[in-house]
Amino acid sequence: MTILATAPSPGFDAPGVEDFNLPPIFGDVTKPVLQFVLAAVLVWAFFTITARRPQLVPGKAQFLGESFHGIVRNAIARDNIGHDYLKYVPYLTTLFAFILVNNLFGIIPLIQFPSFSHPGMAYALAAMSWLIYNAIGIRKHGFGGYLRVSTWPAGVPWWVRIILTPIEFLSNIILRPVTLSLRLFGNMFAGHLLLLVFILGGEYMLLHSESLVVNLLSPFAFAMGIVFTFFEAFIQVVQAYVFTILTASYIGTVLADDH
Amino acid sequence: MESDRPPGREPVPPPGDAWTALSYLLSGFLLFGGIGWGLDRLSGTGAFTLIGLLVGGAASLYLIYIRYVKS
Repeated sequence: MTILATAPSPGFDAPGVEDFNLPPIFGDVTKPVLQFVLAAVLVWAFFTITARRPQLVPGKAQFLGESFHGIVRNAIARDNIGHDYLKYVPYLTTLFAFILVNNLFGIIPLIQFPSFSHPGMAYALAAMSWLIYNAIGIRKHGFGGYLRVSTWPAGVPWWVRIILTPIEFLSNIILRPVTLSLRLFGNMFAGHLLLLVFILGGEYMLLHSESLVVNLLSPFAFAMGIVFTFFEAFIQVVQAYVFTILTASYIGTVLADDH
Repeated sequence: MESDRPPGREPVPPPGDAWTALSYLLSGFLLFGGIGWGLDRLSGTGAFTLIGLLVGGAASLYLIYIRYVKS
């Protein structure tokens, strides 16, 4: 609220899209690119270390790795896919871990940039999930059978199908990867922008404002920045979870024999 | 190897369902609203967009009913 009151003052350059266009570090490599590489290495290292020398009675590291794997296996894969879920647990576990680490980069000090606030990699991950669930569906039902399962609602008269089948096709085959990627990108972009507004606004109020009252009000902006950082932590976990759960849910629907 | 589901637990709707239902709604409005809008552009009238949006919305709701409630 304090920001809104001071926003019209000349000189405060409100953060916007341009703040997300970070200059390349070398060549065409930008900060998000390095973050993706770092995230991949971290995820690989985490599972390599926690799965090394597995014991019957797990130690701390093994317990951590197995708990994470267990959440994905039981809460995400089993509840959404049904009996053949075990095959898909490795992909879903890595997907969840990779997105989670990249999202948390948004609030980890010194990194503080959510990789998916650039949509490119979100498109790539959504495309991968799209390829995977379509391939699973085609392999299980054949091409025609798969189209029938995913766009042919059972038990309705033919003239209703004329209306419903195009909606099913658009929703299940075309829009799914779009919503999947845009949801992740939008949440990360908006969250980071929100933090920028409060932190940069607070900085401006404290250091660049002529008015003593505004100077003294700046801690409120910083306090809101801190509150929203915790809120972001929550959103970042939820979005990683939602992306994974939806991928599992799509795999589950294409594996289902009939709706 | 444990069983598919712990005993005594009732099957609940998969948590992903709520999100996929949203995508049906969006698709119905987009598709039939879009067709209506196209017809309006071609014919110079103004009513088809509204009709399309209503038909699309109703069809989406019906589809959600068929997919998640009836089955």
